[in-house]
Amino acid sequence: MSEAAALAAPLRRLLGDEAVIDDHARLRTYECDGLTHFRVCPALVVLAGSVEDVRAVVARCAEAGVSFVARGSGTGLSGGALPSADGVLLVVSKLRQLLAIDPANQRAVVEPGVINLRVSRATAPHGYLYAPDPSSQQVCSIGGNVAENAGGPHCLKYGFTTNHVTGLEIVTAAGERVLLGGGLCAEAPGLDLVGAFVGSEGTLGVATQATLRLVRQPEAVQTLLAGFPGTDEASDAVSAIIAAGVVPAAIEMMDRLSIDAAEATVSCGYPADAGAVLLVEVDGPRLDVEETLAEAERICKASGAGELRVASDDRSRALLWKGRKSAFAAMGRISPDYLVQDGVIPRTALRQVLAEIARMAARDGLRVANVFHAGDGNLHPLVLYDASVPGEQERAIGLSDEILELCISVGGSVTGEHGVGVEKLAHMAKLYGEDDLSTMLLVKQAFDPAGLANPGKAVPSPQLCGEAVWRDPSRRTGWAREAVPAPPAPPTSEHAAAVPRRARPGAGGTALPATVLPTSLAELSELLADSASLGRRVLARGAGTKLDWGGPAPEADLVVGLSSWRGIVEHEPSDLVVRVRAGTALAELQAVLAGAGQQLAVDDVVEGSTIGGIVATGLSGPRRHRYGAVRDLLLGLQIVRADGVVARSGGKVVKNVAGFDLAKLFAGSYGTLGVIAEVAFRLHPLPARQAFVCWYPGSTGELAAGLATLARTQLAVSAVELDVELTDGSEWPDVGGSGTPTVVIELEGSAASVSARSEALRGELAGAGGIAELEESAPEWWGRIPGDAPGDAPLEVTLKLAVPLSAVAELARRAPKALAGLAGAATPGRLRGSAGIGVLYLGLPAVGAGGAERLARGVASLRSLAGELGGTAVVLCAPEELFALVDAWGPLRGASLMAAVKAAFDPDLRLAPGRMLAARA
Amino acid sequence: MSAVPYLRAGARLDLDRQLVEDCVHCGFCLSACPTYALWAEEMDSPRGRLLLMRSAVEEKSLQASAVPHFDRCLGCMACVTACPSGVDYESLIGETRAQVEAEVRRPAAERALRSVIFAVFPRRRRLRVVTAMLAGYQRSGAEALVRRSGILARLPGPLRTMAEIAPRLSRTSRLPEIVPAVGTRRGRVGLLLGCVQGELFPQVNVATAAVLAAEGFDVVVPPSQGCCGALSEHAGRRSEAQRYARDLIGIFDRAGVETIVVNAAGCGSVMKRYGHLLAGERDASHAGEMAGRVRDVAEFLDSIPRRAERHPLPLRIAYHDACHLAHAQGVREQPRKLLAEIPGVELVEIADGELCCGSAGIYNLLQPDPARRLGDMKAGHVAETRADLLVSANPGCTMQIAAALARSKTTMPSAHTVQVLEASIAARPVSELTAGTVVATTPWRASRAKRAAGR
Repeated sequence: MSEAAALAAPLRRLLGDEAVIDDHARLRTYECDGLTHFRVCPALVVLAGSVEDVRAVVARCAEAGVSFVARGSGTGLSGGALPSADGVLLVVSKLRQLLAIDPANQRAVVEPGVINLRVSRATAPHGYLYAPDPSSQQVCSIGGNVAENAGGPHCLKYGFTTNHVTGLEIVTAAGERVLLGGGLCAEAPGLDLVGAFVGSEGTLGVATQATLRLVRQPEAVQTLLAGFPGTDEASDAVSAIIAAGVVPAAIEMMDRLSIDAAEATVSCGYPADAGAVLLVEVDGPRLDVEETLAEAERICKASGAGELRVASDDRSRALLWKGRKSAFAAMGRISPDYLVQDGVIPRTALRQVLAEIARMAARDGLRVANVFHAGDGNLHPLVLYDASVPGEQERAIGLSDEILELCISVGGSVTGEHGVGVEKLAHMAKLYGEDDLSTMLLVKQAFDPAGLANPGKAVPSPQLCGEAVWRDPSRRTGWAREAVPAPPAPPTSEHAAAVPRRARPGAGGTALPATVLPTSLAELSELLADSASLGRRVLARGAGTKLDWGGPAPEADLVVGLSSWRGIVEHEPSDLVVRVRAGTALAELQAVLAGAGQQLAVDDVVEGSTIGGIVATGLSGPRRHRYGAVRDLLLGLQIVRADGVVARSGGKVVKNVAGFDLAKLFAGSYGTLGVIAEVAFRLHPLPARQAFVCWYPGSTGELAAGLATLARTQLAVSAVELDVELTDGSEWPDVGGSGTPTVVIELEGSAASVSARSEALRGELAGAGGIAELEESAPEWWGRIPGDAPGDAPLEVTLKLAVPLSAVAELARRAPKALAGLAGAATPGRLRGSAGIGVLYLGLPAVGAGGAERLARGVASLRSLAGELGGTAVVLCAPEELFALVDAWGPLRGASLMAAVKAAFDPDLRLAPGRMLAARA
Repeated sequence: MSAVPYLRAGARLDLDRQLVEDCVHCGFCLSACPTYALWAEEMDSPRGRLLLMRSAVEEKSLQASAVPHFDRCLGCMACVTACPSGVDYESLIGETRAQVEAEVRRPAAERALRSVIFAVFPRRRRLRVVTAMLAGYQRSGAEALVRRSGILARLPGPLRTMAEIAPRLSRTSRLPEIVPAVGTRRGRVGLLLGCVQGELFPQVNVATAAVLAAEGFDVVVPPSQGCCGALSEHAGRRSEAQRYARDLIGIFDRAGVETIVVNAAGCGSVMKRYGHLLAGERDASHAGEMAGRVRDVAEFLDSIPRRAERHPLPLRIAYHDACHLAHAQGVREQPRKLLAEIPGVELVEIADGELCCGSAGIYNLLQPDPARRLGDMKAGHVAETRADLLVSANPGCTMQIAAALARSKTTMPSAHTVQVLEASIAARPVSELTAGTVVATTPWRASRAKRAAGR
């Protein structure tokens, strides 16, 4: 009896007879997921009936050293839930309670077995939906979605699972229940472990609860069905739509074979003579939908579309989608066997790649059907074959592999949403180098040192799990070694100019050694490698605007400045993608992008920041509301590890689930895990027009009502920013005058749309009270932390507060009272930030001699207020005396996992020592 | 859950491997499957059952542990509707059940129950005796006493189910051999009475004949017709089903009708598959030909131009898709269309309407617990509609949902689609439908009904 099978008896005692399956016939019903080419009969199947069951089973496995594979609905297409013959298959599909629906905070809390579609169905009566919509959404479960970072057609506009999960409860590989992430809040202090976990394919633990972000239902939805002579013309149309900056909710392509298969299944009424069809879905405010749809129609026509049909009622839309969503399995009707691939390519390469696939298929005498997320460049070539014909399966597999290699060769990825699983493990080595993979495995080492969680999936491990892959630093010598005591270049004048107006204690301060400015990746790598061999402590620095953030400026032996490692590496305007070196100033990048009518949707909340600094701190401004946080815009990252090894994850395509998402982990890591060298971002077109509605609520009640209105509006506002002076120690009085808050709402779009929507918005706000005025431009303070905008009084301390959406008004009301101890300060404090997200900055004034203690009390009471409201408070920057009195980060969710990640990436704790994690590691 | 039955040593399952391998394991069937809805376990899902079949075929050995999972399948065929790959699950589960029945020895109590069921339900005369007893039980006041006493809750599952689901029987006229068309004759159709429909819901047959006649058809009702074989086929009693099928084919051969109209979804679904049921037999092609002439009553009525005038019925109707109509026969739109055409009718959809109510032929007798839970789920969704009337096209569904509604202390009258049509055509007041007292009185009644009334 195997060790796994020996667990049957104790697990039966624990979970009951019915929960444990060990007879061969029934075990075989769990032998595969949606990828049937791989079948393995598990040693044991355990049906968990509760989260506690999951914990108990994993704990037993950990004790016995038995591996486990978690499984939800078993619909994955990469073999992610393929059992191990000597392991336990842990089924969580019975955990299907919708624990909470919280429309006011735009969240749903669910168990992992809850079916994706059920979330949208349950939240629809409240006016909300859950955006990620894999084609299997009627059957796939949230737990599986989280594991695979599932996508779907509407991810073009709304993003993937990782952009919609704000909190998780996981059972770690050691069998402990741990809460991660912000949950009701948009973010949590510390490392983004939720970002690391989503898409890790069950190799880091088992998700037992997820907090999902809900999206307001659009006011209008229309679907355009466009028939084209062939995929060439359809591809041209897709590229033209993307390049024109039109953002539909979804753009799907189906070629002739796929149309035939779908028609055979659901008679969806696709054009009979078309060589390819595009499904273009547009949603949003009614006026915008009409505009966008007209533009999409015009482009389709110009690209050679024949039949154009618009489905505007739910029933006909549903039929069009049913054809699309059934297409994979419908292949069974036109072919005995098929292989589904999931490659991603830059959208500009669609025509070329599809033509090449067709050529290769003709060469091999095989048919390839294409049905895919064209707007994302996420191909799903279905290689059709008949296994009963000798040699055909081998040819099909060969062709399928070749298609993935083609995707890699044009700068794409091997998987956009299905995951690596077991199927694409071999391709990972073609997509990534050994150093990249070994770096990803550091995450695995941190979460699952024993290697028991879903072994052999997601990231190939050349060596036994638990052994970190470290370069021998001794073989490195070079200029950096000598450079350490005497830096080769003094800070440049440009560098000095980047220091902000408001002098920060520590920034460019006395304790830090001078900065070394590597001018190549090789230099950067050697510098870190040498530092490793010499045991030097290293601090990475961009423009130096936030060196003393998140704690006192770390003591370091060497400051590595990135400001000479700058410049745009690649900007493909029609793909809306940029690759840029870390030392590039955001402003410089924006200037170049603006020339192409594009933007990186990130705000320079602290003027002068570099790209590296922006990613490392992960700070967000107004644009987060529409475009997401920095983490959501990252496509790929190149980093230099503490040991000097250069590694990258992700790529330059907009959809990519190959390997662990290191970019999420590094975003907001404050330089504690490695040095960011280069970043690939998703870009957005600059809006044709902007308008601002300034709203002045007359009371706290009106503020709360107005923010609730803004959270629910279907007018697609781009930002909701609150700015309020915290005048004195009393609660905000219910009268107007100075100290009353201003809420500024940004709208973007065409001139006609923006003016109509601004008017409509004023109407909606009238219901809440207050006064709403239209403005052409943003206020001076827009997108800057308090104290940094031109009109701001100087402030000494900056905090970042994250609270649930519905608590923002309450935070504004009670913050002044929490700061009662600061009365008498020279200038008032200020609360400013994204009220539509629930992430705000709070600035506190200097309070004179002996002020540190009073400030510390103020911080403590703000932190307890935030905690009471379900949120958190982080001290971003403060005088050193204050940092000596307060913990900048406060309690961290998953602190021990964060420490483990830190220890895996920086075992000697030499990077930004003392910041965020080192003290805890 | 039921005990694992005993299987003959060396038991095998021989299926067309190609059919089994048509499944691509996409899982789209999971959300459609009632047993998966209950337990979320692969063994009790369609693709899981297909894997049980597959392993039995591949390994040339049928395991006893697989049998309860085949037994628990309701045969609702919702998975067939959901399947994008077109797996012929209906044939596979039918074949599997037939082979399992040949190899299995079930626990004694279950064997006894099955033999009672198959001795009574497909035999109209015996069923009539039981229904007569039932009517007496209801009218004597004993039923009220029993329901009040709480005895029901202590009865074994199957008995309790039977006692609960039995409908209120109404005294009604029985049909003559021929019901003539009203006005110009458009054609001649045969009518299947159905065992349960005929005995427990005779008013549905009367309404069917009345509507068909009003639309201009002579309705032939062969008096000697027996069971269609559906209950037997769905339980794997294939040779018994084949016998019933042959008898019925002979009877309708002699009736000389073009179309055979059926108003019970379960019966229609099997009769349309007579060609499959008798596949390999020498009369297979004849059976297939006859199957091609079977129409559900809604399907038939929708296929002809309307003639009889529809009078208004101000009613909010929740239409329940009987699985054997919607999934097995693909008849969904036609009954909705017929009902919606009636002036004043407002049709409302039942949430999760594609999910079985748990009746499934005799499933609620053999698997009372899951059937009951499914019934409660369905009743919940039906109650949410706040409709005036529940309309369904299958007697089993009607009984099952009515019983579940009663358990949840909800009252909603129910009727068959044709009863609503009949009430509209005959310009009856709504109250007759909602009070459940509709007894069709049609023009033929004057001439022949008296003779027929005594039957």
